[in-house]
Amino acid sequence: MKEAIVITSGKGGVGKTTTTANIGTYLAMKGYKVALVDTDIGLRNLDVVMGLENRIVYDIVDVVEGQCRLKQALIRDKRFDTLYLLPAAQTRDKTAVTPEQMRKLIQDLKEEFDYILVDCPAGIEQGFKNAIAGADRAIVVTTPEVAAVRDADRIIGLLEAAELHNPLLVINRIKMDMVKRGDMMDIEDIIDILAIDLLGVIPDDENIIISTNKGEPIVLDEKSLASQAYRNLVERFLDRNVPLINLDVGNGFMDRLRRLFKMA
Amino acid sequence: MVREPVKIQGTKEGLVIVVDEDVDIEVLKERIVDRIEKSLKFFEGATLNVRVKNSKFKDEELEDLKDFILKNYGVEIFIKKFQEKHIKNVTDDEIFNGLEEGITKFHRGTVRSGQVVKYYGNLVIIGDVNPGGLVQAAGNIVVTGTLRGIAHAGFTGNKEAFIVASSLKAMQLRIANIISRAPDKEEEVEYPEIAVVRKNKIIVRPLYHLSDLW
Repeated sequence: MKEAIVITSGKGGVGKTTTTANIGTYLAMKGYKVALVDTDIGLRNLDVVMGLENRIVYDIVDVVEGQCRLKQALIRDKRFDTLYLLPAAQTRDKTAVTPEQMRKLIQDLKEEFDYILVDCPAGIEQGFKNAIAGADRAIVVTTPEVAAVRDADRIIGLLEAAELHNPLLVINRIKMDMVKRGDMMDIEDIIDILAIDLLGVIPDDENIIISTNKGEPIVLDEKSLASQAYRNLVERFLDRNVPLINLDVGNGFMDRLRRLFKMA
Repeated sequence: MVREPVKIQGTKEGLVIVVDEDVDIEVLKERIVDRIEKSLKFFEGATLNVRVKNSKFKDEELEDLKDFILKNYGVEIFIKKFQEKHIKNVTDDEIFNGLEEGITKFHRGTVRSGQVVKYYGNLVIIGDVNPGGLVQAAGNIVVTGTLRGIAHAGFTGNKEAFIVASSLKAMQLRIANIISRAPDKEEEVEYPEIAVVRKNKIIVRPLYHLSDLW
């Protein structure tokens, strides 16, 4: 089973870190042993999103440089005993780690964990190369914007060149009402261009911003639609036969309300 | 911030030369020769300890240097390589003792995420330390603004060092080899605070209750 999955996108700000945090947290909620690895050295965020920033003493660079043991750098999540974070270094840059070191690191993590989720930095340079080294498969995150999809396409090409075949697609921050009005790229349009398997669709939800700021991944909050979407995404990751959830259902009442006001 | 790449310090073990990682072997040689020539009498028949920090010098390079000094000046030097000490193995051999009165650096401006201000003495930050910023001092640390990042006082091992900030909201406080992290739910306070070590734990107190501490 043991699998290392890199979460990548090419473009910045599409939600790689949020996706990593939520997939990891829900996998841990389901009882799997999960390690989250932040490879965005110099611009780390995953620790903030997980609410674990104040626990960092050692980081990924300390581990590869042999300043500490891997176990010392792994931070246990405050909510789930089977969830750990390996934070990035903030005072260094991407060149502090090599793809070979990453491969070794992931190998070591596989001895302890069922799933290793690697949060990739934006871009296609060294940080990207580090992040995909040692990964068994990739999840590509995009938003329904032409620029993000363009970058996702480029990334899929690079992943294939690196022998990471069949990446899975996450479409983040979709606004169903805008899609309906024809103002936003549809899921179909995106799949058409990227031609990879769709893992899940996450609605644009204010609650994500609130939860991210609080350092509490949104999957912890059962009520929100985004949380359900992330849970559905993970279920589909574990068993591809699970159908996609219908994002219109949760939105229905608000949609009707909005339309009502617009008509008035 | 210019730090001497080759520092010569007097310690209880005699003279110790601390060399930064990016120093050329020739520069080190020059500095040692320079120092010996300045006070040749003092060095006659003496031994000299050189601690080389984080350096990339090869062993044979260092051997050559040793031979050179011994032949030309009759001074025997002992070279010890060491890695920069990490929080786990802070030891007592080079404690900075200028906590009451001692060399002090004044850093002007905000220390932002990813920036490190490190000083082998007391450190005063005229500004804030933001989350992800790191200030390290062998002595005390005073932040005139808000401390939101990490402060590490007495990092060479002095547990008497303190950390003071007008607003102390640090992610982590470290004094010598002791670490404490911010509570996950922090209550906001409006007054300046001081962090010191008592019974091997870091405690934070309002700055106006100093009489309780000393």
